[in-house]
Amino acid sequence: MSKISDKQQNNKWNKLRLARRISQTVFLILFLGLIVLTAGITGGSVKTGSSIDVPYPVEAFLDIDPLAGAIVLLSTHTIPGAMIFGLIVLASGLLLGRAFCAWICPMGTMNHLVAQAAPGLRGKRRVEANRTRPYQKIKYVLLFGVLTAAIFGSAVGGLFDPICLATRGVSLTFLPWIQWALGGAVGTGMESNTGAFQQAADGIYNAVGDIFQYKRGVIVAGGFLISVLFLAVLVANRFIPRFWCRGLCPLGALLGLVGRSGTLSLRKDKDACDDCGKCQSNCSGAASPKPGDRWQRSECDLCLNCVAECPNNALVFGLAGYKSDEQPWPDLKRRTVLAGAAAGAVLVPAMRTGALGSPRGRPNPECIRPPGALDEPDFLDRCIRCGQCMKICPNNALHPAFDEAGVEGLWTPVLVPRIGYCEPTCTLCTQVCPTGAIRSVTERQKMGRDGEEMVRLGTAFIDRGRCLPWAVGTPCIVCEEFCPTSPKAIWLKEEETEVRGKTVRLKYPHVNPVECNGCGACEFVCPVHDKAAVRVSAAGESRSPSNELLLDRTSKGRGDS
Amino acid sequence: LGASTVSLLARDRGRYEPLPSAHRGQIRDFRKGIDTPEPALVIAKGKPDEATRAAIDALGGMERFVRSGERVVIKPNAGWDRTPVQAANTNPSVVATLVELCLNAGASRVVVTDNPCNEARRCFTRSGIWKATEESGGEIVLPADHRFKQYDLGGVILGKMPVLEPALDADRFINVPVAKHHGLSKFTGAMKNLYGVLGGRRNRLHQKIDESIADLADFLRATLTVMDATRVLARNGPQGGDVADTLEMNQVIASQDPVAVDAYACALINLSAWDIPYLSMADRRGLGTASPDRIQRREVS
Repeated sequence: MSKISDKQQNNKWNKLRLARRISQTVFLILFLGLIVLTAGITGGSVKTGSSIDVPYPVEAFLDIDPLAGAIVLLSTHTIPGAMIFGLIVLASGLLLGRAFCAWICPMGTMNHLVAQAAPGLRGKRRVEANRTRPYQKIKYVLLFGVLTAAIFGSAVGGLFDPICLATRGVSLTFLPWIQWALGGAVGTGMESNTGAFQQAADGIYNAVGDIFQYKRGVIVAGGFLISVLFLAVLVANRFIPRFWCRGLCPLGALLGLVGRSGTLSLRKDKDACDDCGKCQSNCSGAASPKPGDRWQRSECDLCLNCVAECPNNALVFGLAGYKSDEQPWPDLKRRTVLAGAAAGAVLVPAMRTGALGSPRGRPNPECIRPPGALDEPDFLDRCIRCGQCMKICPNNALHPAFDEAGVEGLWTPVLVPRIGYCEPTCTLCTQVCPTGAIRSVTERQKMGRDGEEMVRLGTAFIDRGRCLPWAVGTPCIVCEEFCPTSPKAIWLKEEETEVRGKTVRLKYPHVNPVECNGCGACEFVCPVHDKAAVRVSAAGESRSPSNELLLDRTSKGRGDS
Repeated sequence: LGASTVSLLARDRGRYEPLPSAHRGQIRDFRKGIDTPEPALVIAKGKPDEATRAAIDALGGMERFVRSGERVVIKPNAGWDRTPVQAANTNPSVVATLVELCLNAGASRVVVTDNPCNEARRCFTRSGIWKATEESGGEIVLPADHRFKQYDLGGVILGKMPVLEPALDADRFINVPVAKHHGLSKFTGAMKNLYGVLGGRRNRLHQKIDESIADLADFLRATLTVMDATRVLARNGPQGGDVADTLEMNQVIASQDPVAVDAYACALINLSAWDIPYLSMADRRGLGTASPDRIQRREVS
């Protein structure tokens, strides 16, 4: 081959690599854009009277995630609506192996960015960091564990799904940080007592405050762990580029396995190779592109760096059929596969032995699920911990569980009424759940109107030892004012009573469990600021036939139940 | 999808500049330079927009209250995530009509603001007030942390409280409540509606709700009170939720005297002004009259 055609060859691969970079950028922006837009759907001037709905498929990236789809398929034997699009990515895997990882996956792109931005690894260290290593097999073990756990009825594998990881990480880690920082910036500007700064601060709020909703930056217990682990995944790239993708990502493992008979192969020309090491130094999958090494098909994410970088044109991708020196399928021992599967199988019953909050034990009173959540075992069948529901909640009421739902329920959504209550007419979380763990609920169903059975999250109970009228003889009843049901679930009884020697008339709040939908508005507004005097527990939640409270919860009679 | 995209872009564009701190802590009298109108209280019957127009006309037109170049704040009750037919918020047509009247009277800027109980964006959206305001040329300013400033309300109960400053940053303040039942204070209308300019932990005020309401009416003296009683929430107030809780009354009540407006309107849900402690308190403090029969009043339609 002449020098010129070499150059043309390299140009071709360079162009294709540019296309890959553009694709990554576009999909990452799309991904982040959808997250930011999700946080901003709370209203506006155009609509009136009607319900506020999600106008875009904000969960699109989860819909096309074949691992999440496989988890739900295995655990429920059904596939929820839009998740069928996972077949597209799966088909791409059949044809092109892990191309999804380097071209589309937002988690992959974020990892890529952290690894490549001002690269910390250079020269020989970099070549070594990108060598194929045994740790890359962990992801297959994880994949088998995740899928077996799904067969045993747990979607806990969502913890390791890269799209869930990215969604959760960005929306429950970065967004709250931005919100917190924005709030600080605006607040500081306001306190400056300088007109220009104050105007600028209000300008910032007007421009982006609604989108980032900076007041809602609070994420509780489980959230800190999300931040730490998400950061760990990102920082790991500084030591081993794309460590997550190569070593742990079960979606990458899935695509690597189905890509066994992919259409493209790396053709190596050992004679042309001058052993410069550029291919391996830039290999994002640690797939051994160097002539002389066995190319690891299941690790290659078609980033095209090797073919674009090779100065001697010793590497080209061509249609399969060419018998290249390759490893088509990861070198897994049967024992390894079985170990993964066994771990997944053992994990599910092990996680469910907890006394409180696990499906086999008693319900945890603090495990208050979003409206439309399925009964706990069905919920755990489906909830992949993507965090969409928490992200879209306009009141910041939904939070990633730490231990409220038992060990298995880590990062599943729970309502924390002290931070935010379930807005009475809002159904946003039920619209974004990709797996149907939260089924779609209409406003009428949620409020129990027009003959629909009311969706209850739990029941409020008054703590008479803390309630101002009950405990200290002071008027209050803010809970009654805020109670959104009609008739109100909190009802008042006015009685004459003696308080410190004086006769006064006081209104005492009572809960009518027939009307209470467990939204937590009362707990949220209770003026006893630390531990509320009226608190919601999951008891009586409509999703659970076993956590029922009343013998007859359908009667609409007030107080006569 | 198009409309939703627009709704995402068409957001709160209200400008807000904090007032110099010397302005905080004094009585806000937005009636300066305006004589008491004759008649003192007008009850207009009809559809929300028509009745609003008729009521203002009967008081002598908006020009009596808003002069050319003045900045006006309209404070509706947008407190709840409810639709107009549920009557928990001020009817959007009443708000829109007032915005128009103010602009026609030469107002340089009309801001509509409130600090709702439920999530603010949902309240302004679903009450229809957001749309109605922008279509009629007004600006919505949403509550945000930085828009609250500590004021000394100088009341018997109310001392230092965070106040939604854009609600006070005006030459004229028009209070536009909706008449409703209230579980604790029995009736909520003009005076209670001023709670919506407060921030912070206002849920503690319920412990002395009557004194708080009277204090607030003392601190903030609106140019005009225009009460929406076109549809009145007669029970399960102040939030309601069931259309069956509402009564169609087709009235708009306007006056400079918020106490008289409340005293008249509470009778619509069969309460006597003297059963409502904050009204007699306000009467004693000279903030208005709790005997609306004693002032000149006119019914129009």
